[in-house]
Amino acid sequence: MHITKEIYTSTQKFFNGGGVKMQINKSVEAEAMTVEIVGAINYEGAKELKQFFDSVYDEVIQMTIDMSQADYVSSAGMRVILEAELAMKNKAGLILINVNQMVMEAMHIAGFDKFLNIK
Amino acid sequence: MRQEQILIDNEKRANKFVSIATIIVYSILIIFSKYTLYASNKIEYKRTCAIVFGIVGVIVVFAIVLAFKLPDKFFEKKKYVIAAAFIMVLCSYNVVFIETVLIVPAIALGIFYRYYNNKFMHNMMIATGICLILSAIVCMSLGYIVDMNAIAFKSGTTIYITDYSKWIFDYVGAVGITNSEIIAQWSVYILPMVVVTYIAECIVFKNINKSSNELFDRRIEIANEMYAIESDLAIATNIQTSMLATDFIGFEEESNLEVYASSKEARQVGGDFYDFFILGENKACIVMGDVSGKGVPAALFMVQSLACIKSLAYRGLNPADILTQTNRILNKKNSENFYVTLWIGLYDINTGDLQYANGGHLHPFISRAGEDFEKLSCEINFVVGMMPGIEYVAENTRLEPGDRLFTYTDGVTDCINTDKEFYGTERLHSILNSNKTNNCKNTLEAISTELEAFKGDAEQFDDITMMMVRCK
Repeated sequence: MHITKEIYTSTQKFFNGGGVKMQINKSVEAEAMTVEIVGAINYEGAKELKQFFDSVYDEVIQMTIDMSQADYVSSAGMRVILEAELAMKNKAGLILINVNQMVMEAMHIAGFDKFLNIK
Repeated sequence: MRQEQILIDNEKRANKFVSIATIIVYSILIIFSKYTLYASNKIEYKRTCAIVFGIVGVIVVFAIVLAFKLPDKFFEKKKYVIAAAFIMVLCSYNVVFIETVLIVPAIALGIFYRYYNNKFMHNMMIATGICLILSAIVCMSLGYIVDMNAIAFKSGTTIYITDYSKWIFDYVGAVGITNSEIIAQWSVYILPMVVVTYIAECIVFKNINKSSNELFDRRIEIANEMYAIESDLAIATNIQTSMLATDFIGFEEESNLEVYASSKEARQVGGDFYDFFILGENKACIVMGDVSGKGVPAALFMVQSLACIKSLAYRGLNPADILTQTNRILNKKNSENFYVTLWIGLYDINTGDLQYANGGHLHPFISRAGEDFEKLSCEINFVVGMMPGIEYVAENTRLEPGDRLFTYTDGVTDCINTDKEFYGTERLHSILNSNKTNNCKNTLEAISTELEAFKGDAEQFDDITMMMVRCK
């Protein structure tokens, strides 16, 4: 069993006075992928994330998104996550883990928690 | 306009560049002529050169000063004045270092290339060629031998070198060939070579100039296209802003609801919107929405959503059905998976009943008869437009005189300061409470002011949209 780890970084102007990087850490174990998102999934971050997801759908059967370090998810970010859920529906599915309270609240208000597998 | 400005800026920089080049070449000329001129034994030649260089120096300084002092209406002429000074210096250079007659024109062309101007380049090629050949002839008529190869010595000629401080030209000159013979021989042996080389140099530089001009034009085209897109975006923002309701007073008169709303867009065209309008004789509709994403796609989705909601509302549907139908319509043609969070309230002007439905939007705040604000309880429903077949639920409350309802988008609570803190619901709640005796407009302005102060120098990255209604 081999494990590969890659890091995708993006510099974004999220806060004034310096780019904050949203980082996507991917680790693959067989066909199960764990994606750790670090930073804020704002509008720009959502675009990056969408590109990332689009590039990996074919490779994976089961995907886990570790949200422990995602401190903010914009509406565009939620859309990308839901798109991932739809894309993974016919496979083993998508699981969100360690979602922080603020993000959880935003997802709850928008009704996303009903559609996503959040643990 | 922008294109012309770019060309003018380039010409200004080119003028400076050529002026500096002129001064540098003149300095080289003066410094190095010491070694060639003073070694020559032709006293009258030295004297002529000294006079000519003196005059050239004065003219060059005068021309450069003139070129930079000329008023702007002679801007086109400036480059010709400077170029003339430069050619004059090059010709003087040519007289001293005539062996370099093949290379000097290339320097000139390289310098004039800096203007990226076809017509100017063309004129300067002709002027430089003529001036350099003339200067060579003038030089030879003064008795300065051009090139050893140009002299056809009689067979059996012997030259004795006796003084190493002298130049070999001086000995060759002493053989007794007349100036006109030298010119004639130079014209036969050297001139064709000079002309051919110069023409080749001209062709090369003309091609370089042409391709760089094409690149430049292409860049300008792209810049203009970008500019057109930018102005389209500005128009899109205007159209979008103009779609938001503004007739606060008209609405108040008909509905007995005091209303005020504001929307402050982030950098791009955003997806936030609000609306309030009268339906029939006794209903008023209030809408607050936020499309996921930004830019023109989000704005288009917003326009579509708003059109749907309005037409469904005019058909007399209740808020839940409006959301259900809007969801159905938007979901059909939604390849990009956009969604909109919506809160819709339908107020009965006669009875004060407020029927509302929520599609994934932030819950509004409500204040009863001057009491503190509290969250209006709303059913948690999914956002609108993304999933087919969602049934939304309508809820009911009443608005009594003095009651206030505040709806907003997440741009308010997600506003970030330089310490990376969110503004958050609690701060919003407390400022609402401290303004509960204020009218709607003043309350929203107070919130805007506080948000601005909170944000400080941080960038606003989401639209900030708020609406408040107060029952009179």
